[in-house]
Amino acid sequence: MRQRRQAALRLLLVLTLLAASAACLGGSSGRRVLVIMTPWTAEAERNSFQAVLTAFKAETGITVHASPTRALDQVLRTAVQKREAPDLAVMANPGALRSYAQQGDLVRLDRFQDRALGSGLVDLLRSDYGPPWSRAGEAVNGDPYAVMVKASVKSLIWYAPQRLATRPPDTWAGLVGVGRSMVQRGDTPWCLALADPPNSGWPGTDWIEDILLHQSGADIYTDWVDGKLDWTSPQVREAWQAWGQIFTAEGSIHGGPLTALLTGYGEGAYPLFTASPGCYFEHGAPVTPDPTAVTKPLPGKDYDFVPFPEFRPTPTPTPAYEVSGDLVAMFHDSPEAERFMAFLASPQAQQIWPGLQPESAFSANRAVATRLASGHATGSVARRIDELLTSSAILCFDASDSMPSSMAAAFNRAVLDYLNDPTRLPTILAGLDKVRADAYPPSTQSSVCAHSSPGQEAK
Amino acid sequence: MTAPPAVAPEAVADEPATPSTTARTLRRLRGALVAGSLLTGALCLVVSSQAHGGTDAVGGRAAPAVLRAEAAYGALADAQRAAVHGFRQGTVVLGGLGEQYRNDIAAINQNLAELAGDTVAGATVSSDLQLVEGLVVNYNAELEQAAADYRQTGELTRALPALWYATLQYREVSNTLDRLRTEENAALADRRGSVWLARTADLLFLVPFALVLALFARTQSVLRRRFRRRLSIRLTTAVLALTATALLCGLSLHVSDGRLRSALDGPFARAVTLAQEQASRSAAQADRDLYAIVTQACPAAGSCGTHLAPQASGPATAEPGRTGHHQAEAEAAFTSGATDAEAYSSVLLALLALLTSVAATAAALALNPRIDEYRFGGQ
Repeated sequence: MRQRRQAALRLLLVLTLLAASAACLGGSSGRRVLVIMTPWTAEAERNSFQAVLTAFKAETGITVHASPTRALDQVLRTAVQKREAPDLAVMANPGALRSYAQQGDLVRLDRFQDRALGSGLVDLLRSDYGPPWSRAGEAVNGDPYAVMVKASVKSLIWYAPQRLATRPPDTWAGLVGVGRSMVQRGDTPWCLALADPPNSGWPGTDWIEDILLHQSGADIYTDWVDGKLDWTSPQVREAWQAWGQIFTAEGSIHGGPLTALLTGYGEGAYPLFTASPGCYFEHGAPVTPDPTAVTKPLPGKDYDFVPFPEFRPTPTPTPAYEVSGDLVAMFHDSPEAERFMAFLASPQAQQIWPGLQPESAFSANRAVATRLASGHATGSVARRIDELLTSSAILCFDASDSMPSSMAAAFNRAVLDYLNDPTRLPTILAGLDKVRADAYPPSTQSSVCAHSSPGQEAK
Repeated sequence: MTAPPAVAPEAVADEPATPSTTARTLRRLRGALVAGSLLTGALCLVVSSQAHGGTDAVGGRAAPAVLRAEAAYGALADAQRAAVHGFRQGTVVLGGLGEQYRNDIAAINQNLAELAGDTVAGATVSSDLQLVEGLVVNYNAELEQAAADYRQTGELTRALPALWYATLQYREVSNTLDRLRTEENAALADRRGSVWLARTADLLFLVPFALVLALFARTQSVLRRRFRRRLSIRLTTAVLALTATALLCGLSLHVSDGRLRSALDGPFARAVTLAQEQASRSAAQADRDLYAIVTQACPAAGSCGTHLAPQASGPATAEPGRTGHHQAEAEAAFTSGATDAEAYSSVLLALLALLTSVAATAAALALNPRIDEYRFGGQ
């Protein structure tokens, strides 16, 4: 009997504890998930980057959550100020990278916890990526901080081959002449779209940068980027005026200046493909056809490109191209983040995005770009851009992207002002010089231009 | 309570017939009853605390977070309406973006700050809040630029690019806030569901309660057989107190749920609806004004690449003050309901603690006289 009572008491105690546990059960379990802030909000780009993240997870089991925002710079700055920076972020530009690195917010690639992984990554960047790409990821005293996740070429003039009797001229004077002829016969030569808040105006800065690079050369371009050349200097002023020569003429841009100012940059090339052409040329990185179009325009057939024209009548022995790219840097060091950075630079990761968007995304890894080029049809758009990236040309990183953020913002704004009222050019340039006086830290020295392959330094 | 005259203890058939063994049995029963009463009471307290916590999480955080997200969304729409109207009317030239606009921007920031404190929706909300904060800064900067352009040139067309860029930013903030609203609503629904699930599990406290009741019955049986006591008042008091504890426990689950549900389904739902209606009216009015500005600036080219289309003339935004008043009333009624539910839970917790103490004390005292009989003369 006593044993039964004791058993009953024990049962009571156990049941009570079980009930208490059931009532109090809670808690969380979870493994570490990396967060990366990105600027890719468009569906195609978001999906392509997600494919990279998925491949990383398949290889390592580590989840990386992408947090896309169009206001990347602003949101990232706020997060860093609040000490709530994400694990990793795509840098708005190399200028922003330098700024964060100088403040000590970023993790150096050669200071990884896993030293072998870090030094292997740095070696890979210096051997497989050309100087303009690896240098874009360096800051402070040339220390490595970032990996180039994808690359793009901007010195391109796009056109619809079936709508032009001949290929666009390869000289500036010829291109301007063709444009004038079109205007005279009632056609509109140029597409232009500048709206992209909070950075509206940047497609115009690409124009001016390209003109300056081809008109005055890589050395002047570099001095200008470094803040050593006045905005009111003849070289810079002439670049603005050359751009104005095209765009301020009546009837030269689709819809007029106000339409150019209000149209989203992503839609800039749409009039190239309308039944009645709204325009015939567009400048810049690979065009994006209207995704809602009934028939999807085919690269090489419905649209194609020529390199930015020369200003001199005879071709330069070493052509120069303006390029850009997206850098990923690390704010919080962790074994998972280190593995992700190493994965991003690897040939395996570098070929994922160009594989999904072959005409608009390219790898800065020379070996990958060479391999991808050989996989594309001879003469195709993707192959020619890959070949351009791996040629012996001088590649100059996007100037406004390489300037300090306040200078780049003023440059963007100046483009909008200029298109609104071209007569204000002297005032606009003088204003930019005032911004320059405050924007640059002492002894700024960049290397925005370099031969695409190691061992052929341009400057 | 007067102790009845002592009765000579009888030997029980299934117990060893020695007084010391009976005394030990009584002591053990006393210990088990006190421990069982305390454990049952403690479990009831845990259950009620959880009910209190659940009520607090839903009524004190998840639902207010939804209201803050709705308020931020509404304030943004109203800021856009006020700003665009100022451009269309030309009041921006001399009056700037206006007091209403600035109040709305302040309201957005205030609501976002409160939302950050109340949210129960998880980690993604934090990044969305950062995004909204950054976008609002950009939105405000573009509008200030548009106002400066208008002032400098006196031409609305010259201000239009920055005004359009601000509108693009506004759309992005609006989309992000909409996502936040959805996340907060989902979190609220999730919390309400989990409260119900938890309360079903909480009913497990009835198991030890039933076992303790059985133990009381067994004790009463022992007293009746050995000491011829049909009813022990102290033991009965303990049983009644413990039963009241269990009943209150069940009642707390039911009543706090009921109060919260009526607060959520009544004033809360009304406040959300009013906020959404007002936001829709403000957004439609802003679109109409913007379309008028764009068509005035570029009559030949249509929308100048903005893809703006003529807006159907909807209800005027004539009564924002009145709607705001109704909305504030509904919010206040909800807050009051949620606070009542919370206050009720606090009183209940105190009562539960008291009843548990009574049950344990009565159980301890009930067997003392019988045990004392053995202590002083049983040997």
